[in-house]
Amino acid sequence: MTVRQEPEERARPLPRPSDVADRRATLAAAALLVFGTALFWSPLRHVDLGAANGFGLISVLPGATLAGAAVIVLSFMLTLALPRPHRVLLVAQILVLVATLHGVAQALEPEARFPTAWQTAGFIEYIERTHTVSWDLDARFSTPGFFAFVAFVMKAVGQHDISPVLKWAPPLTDLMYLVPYMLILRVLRATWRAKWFAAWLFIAANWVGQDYLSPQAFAYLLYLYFVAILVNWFRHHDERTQRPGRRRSPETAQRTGGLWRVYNWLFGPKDPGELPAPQASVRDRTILLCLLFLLILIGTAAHQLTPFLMTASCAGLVLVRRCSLRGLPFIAGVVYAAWVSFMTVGYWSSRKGELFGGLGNVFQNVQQSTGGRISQTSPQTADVQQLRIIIAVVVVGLAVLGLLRRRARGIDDRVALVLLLVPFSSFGLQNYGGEIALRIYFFMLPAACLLVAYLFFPAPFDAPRVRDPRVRVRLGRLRTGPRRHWPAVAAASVFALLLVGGFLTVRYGNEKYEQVRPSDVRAFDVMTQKTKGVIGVVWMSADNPDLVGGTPVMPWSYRDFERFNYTPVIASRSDPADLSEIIQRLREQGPGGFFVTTRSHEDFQVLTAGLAPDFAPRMRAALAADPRIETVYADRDAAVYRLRNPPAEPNPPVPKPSGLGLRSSPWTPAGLIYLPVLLGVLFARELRRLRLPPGETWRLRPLTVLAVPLFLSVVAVIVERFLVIS
Amino acid sequence: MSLPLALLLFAAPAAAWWLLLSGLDPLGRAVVASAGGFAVIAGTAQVMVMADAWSPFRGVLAVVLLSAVLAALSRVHRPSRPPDAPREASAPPGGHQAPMTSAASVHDLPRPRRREDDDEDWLFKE
Repeated sequence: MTVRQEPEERARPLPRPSDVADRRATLAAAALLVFGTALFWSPLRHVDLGAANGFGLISVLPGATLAGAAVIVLSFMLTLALPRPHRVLLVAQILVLVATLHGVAQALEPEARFPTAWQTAGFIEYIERTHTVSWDLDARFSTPGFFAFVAFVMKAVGQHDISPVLKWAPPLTDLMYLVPYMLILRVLRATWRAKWFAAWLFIAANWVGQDYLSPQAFAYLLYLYFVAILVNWFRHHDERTQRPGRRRSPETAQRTGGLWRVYNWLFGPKDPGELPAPQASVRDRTILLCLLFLLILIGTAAHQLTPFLMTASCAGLVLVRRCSLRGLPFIAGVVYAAWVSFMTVGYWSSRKGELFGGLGNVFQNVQQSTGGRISQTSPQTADVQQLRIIIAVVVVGLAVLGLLRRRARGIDDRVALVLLLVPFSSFGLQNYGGEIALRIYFFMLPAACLLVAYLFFPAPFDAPRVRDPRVRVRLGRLRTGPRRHWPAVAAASVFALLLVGGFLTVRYGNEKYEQVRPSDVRAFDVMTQKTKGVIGVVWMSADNPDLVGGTPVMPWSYRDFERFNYTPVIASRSDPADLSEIIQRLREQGPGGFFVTTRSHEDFQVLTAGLAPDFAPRMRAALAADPRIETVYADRDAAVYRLRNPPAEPNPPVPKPSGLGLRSSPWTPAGLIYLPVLLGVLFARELRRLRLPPGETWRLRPLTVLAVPLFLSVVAVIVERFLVIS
Repeated sequence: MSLPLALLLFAAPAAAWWLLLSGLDPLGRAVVASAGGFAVIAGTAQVMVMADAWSPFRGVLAVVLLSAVLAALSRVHRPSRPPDAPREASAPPGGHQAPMTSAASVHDLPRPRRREDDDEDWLFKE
């Protein structure tokens, strides 16, 4: 992973006695890895997930499995303590870590976990079946790129069953993230230990669970590719050591004192935190620029938040002089704004007030994202939530410390700083049902993991084994000799062990209700088989879902998306046998009305809304005994009921696909002409910039002059559309 | 059976990007090629769904065709200028219109890597 090999590494003429010890330690690390993997996986056959309590998976994992996870961690740390990198071993350890952390629940459960993942399956199935989208069914159809992508690939390779894809997507996605991340890491001025530890942390700190088969997971991959290409081939050629500021004259440079120390720390000479950019010819950079443009387009069509972060990170890199494509943020911004204006019109035209309500509502976002998520929950679930926040805060806090430690060493990590700060820009953007803080953490991870690794291994290159004896080094015994890395590795091991323990707790902390059981899927199959028309699903909620933003915790709408309607019934907590509300709602649904409940859904209501644990069994018993209600399907995990004599009305027709819901305004045709021309001019401007020598950017002026009126026209059209269409 | 087929589907555009980016180092080239593979396939699917022309069969054809075009572009090299050749001999970049006679010289004279500014000066020194 390191770009430059140390000269010491390259020239290794004779086997030294330390080589024998090195080989022995390598073998020991490999053996530990095999032993840890066996220890982790072999006791898992006897695990009964049904016995899990509010802490989720960790409460049923055997002690040997946890010990196995610890051994896997220690084996990696032992490899880091070796004097040189053993790449094969390190890669094997990261692969094992991905399988261990991100594959354990998948291996234990028969179906893909996480109800939200099943809705993605519903969107994909909808496109496969109807060959188009329907903007009025769900806001996510406004950015259908990812669903179309998966639907196309599945159809092209003849895979008709999406469940294995759904199930194994998380470990696979995490592996794919490492590919561009590797490219980001290799341009940094750091030791191989810091880089490999950062890659390892990127897997272990990613407890957010946004890596399931979903648009945001795919767009995140594109974001990483985008950043990797930018920092590898589009940096400035004159990134030298930063010189002291012009204001610091020779006489003031001699002054010392607290204030001057702060000044030096901020503005004093620093080494860039990145290695010189790899050389590439103009032709290659032209091709790469085309690919960047393609990535922006595809990312914009696939997810609504990620293109904003692509724009912001590119702009941030430009601002700190780590990206030479000054016009690219404009291109990305124009593409994003145009997409929102032209393609997602169905979404925003009905929600103008809501959009502005979310904009800038930072305080509410903070509350909803953190504290607001922990009200009324059971103590165990609340503990898991608290632990999530603690892990996020610790990771970010250590990242800041790592940044400061590098800065104290005179290294200016601008790329990492930008990637760390950019995700905060999305805070005021949209409130996302209070999930935005998780997304921010997710987007901070590439930089945060790197900076945490810097906290333990801050050096830009390996410290020499032997120091000059005339210089007194504090704690010299620890910091010289072949074992000089051991203290740092030991400290990192403590953090890594805690992090993996935290990961196994919080990632699967809600497993009691986040798992999807085969009966849950079967329940929805039964409903689609029993009726031909629209299915009115009635589901029980302990709180008013309009206030808490709840949805059924089931694999709802995983196929036949347009046929389902959802109507909540607020549970009468005092009397589970009171079915009047349920029957009333079922009557309103007409012939296709079903009442559905699943064990995961009931556990969710118990753990997060404080419903009595015996509420659901008593309600189910009352439903089964009631003469007005027929049991369509029932087992321990899921049950479906309907009226014995449902009313014939209302029987609404199944909605037809409505496409992207594009709408026009008087100025729209002009906008459709200006927009491609503007993008063409901006793109040509960047291509021209690649061919100009440094310092001659004034030659871009003709294109700039051409772009400004076009840009204003496009902005005017976008504003006009927003005002006219409602 | 689907997994090898899927790999094959991604391999075609990725290989085309690999051929196209001959000047990069192997690791960077491989990673960028994988990004290009995603971009071509996802782009095809998105265009199909947005243009109301959903047809997986034609989509696969389009992917193969795009890959072929990219691979063909990689074969059309801009000829590198011999050290003391007159300025007129150098063809403009853009690839497609490069004369075949000078393309042959690329293979005849394997030369060390060009300096960065050699590529750039044709635009502004004339």
